[in-house]
Amino acid sequence: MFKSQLINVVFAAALLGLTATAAHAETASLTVVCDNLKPQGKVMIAIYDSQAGYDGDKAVSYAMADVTSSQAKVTVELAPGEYGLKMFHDIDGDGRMGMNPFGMPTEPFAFSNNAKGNMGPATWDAARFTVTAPETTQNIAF
Amino acid sequence: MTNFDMSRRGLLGALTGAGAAAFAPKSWAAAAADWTIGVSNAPAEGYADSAMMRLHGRMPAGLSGQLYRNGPAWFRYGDDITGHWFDGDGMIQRYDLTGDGVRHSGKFVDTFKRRTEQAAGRIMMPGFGTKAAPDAPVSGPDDVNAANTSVMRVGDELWALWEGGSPYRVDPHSLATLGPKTFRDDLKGMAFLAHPKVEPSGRIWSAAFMGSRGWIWQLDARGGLERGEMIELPLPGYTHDWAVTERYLIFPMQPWVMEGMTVPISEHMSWKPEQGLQILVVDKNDFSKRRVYELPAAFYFHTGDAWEDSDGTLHFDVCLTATPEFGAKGGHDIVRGKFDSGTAGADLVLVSLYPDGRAVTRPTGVSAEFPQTDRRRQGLRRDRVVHVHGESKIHPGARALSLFDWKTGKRQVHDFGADAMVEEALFVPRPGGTEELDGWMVGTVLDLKAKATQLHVFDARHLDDGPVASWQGQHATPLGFHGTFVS
Repeated sequence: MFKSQLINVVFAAALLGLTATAAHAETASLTVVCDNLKPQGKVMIAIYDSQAGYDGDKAVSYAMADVTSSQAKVTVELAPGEYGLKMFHDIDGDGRMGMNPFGMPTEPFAFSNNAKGNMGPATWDAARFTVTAPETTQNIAF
Repeated sequence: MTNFDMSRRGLLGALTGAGAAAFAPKSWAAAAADWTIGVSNAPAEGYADSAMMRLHGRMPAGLSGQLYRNGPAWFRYGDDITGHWFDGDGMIQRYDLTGDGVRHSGKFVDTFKRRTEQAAGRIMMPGFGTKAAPDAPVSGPDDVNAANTSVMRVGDELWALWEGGSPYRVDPHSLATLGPKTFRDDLKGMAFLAHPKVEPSGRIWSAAFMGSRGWIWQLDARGGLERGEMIELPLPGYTHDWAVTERYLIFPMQPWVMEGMTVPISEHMSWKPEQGLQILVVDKNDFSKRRVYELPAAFYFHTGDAWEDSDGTLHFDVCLTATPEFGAKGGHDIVRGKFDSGTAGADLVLVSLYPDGRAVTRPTGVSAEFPQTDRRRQGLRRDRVVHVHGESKIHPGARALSLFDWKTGKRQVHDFGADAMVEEALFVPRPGGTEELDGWMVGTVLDLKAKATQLHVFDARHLDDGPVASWQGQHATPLGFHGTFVS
């Protein structure tokens, strides 16, 4: 006898909005290693270089990796500096993060630093990290 | 145990208010504090299988099966207390009834919420009346799913039900948790009410609500998805329980509206009586065929069942209160050992929806909660409803089990006494019987004097004879909400 059905409302805001494009900058390489994946589809990653971009979903770059085992890996070249990542596992390969009819995610998602969202995306402060030359790695547990 | 039946006035006097106070022995004051055993943590490992002690009577011939009950059973880590009774971790109690007696066991539903909080040793996850810890790992509704409200048997599984997330699948024999139920990949995490309705055919109906949108689940008897569709609601209100007839789905939407997207929810719900209680009736065969009836604002948690007269009039029984005060505040206080008798108490009412658009209530003046009917008649004409009854002034919950007959207006009552906290009782049909309520009511009572949970069996048509047989367990299990009987 209770009413937490309305908690759904809290998840209504879309957590991620990603489309696949490509862009490159030089100097340092960032490798994203994703684990605990079901071997199908792709991991889609959006890369942000500022809080404004992160909060407003204006990515400076994107990356994706085919998922053929429980681990997927992708390397991108970036200018050294501070970044944050939002990513999801596009299990059905439709290029979009799956949502149920109430707009809640149905495909696994993650953030850099393995930061966890609390009723929404992880914050920029929790997700930001520094890319330094020559190479930086982010290990993400889905 | 005492049996009595008397005039409504006399009964109400005895069970509520001044009557109880006048006759209350001084020891009641001491007993009053004991009710908190009903909202204390159960053992983390659960309850090992044990025989219950027979108090009197014999198991009736023809009665066997398992009573499964669900309810919140973990509320605190030291002084860190959950924000609301409704946010405690769900635990399934299993009562196995055979000719040899009754055995009891219990196990927590191993939800993500519970695993996360047990590992951290503190309350973290947001809920109905609980704030989220800053580091609560929440990525979707099932991460905060407490699986603590009801349990149903579907195919070879039990489903532990909440109302804000998926059913949690549980093995009916070991009570081991199997994980959230996903009906289809694109429907992952869609809510499922804790009060699904099962037609006599076995078909299952349930729903989910978000704002002014509602989602209707139509499942086959094995739990497979037959249909799922979105509907528009007349207001972004609240519904915990609802009703179905042979042809219609009935959603009484209360004007309890969530303001803002924040938790805890209970502190952000706004009561808007000017919007009334709007009752949405939807055709089972075509969800676009709908009608809205309106009654003055009222609140409820539980309905009985509905039926339709030959002239198209719909009826359902419901336990109405004036406001949602208990839901909002009472549940916060209870887990802190505080009880305000002024916020409890609902009245048994029959709502009738006429073909000309009128909605009419027939109040009884009878205090009632956890209404139950002969479920073989779900959606069909029937006269009787069995419910817990008689609020106590000294502890939350009811002290009696009662039957009301809408046709005759007659009642039966069995009063368990001041030390009893009476839980929901379920109807179990007598094999071969067909008449309404030909069978037994099987229910549990937390006895504060014995500090133990008891199981009582009544002849469903003769509640006022008292239980025909009773057993007492080795534990005082936390108060539960709803259950199911599997014959």
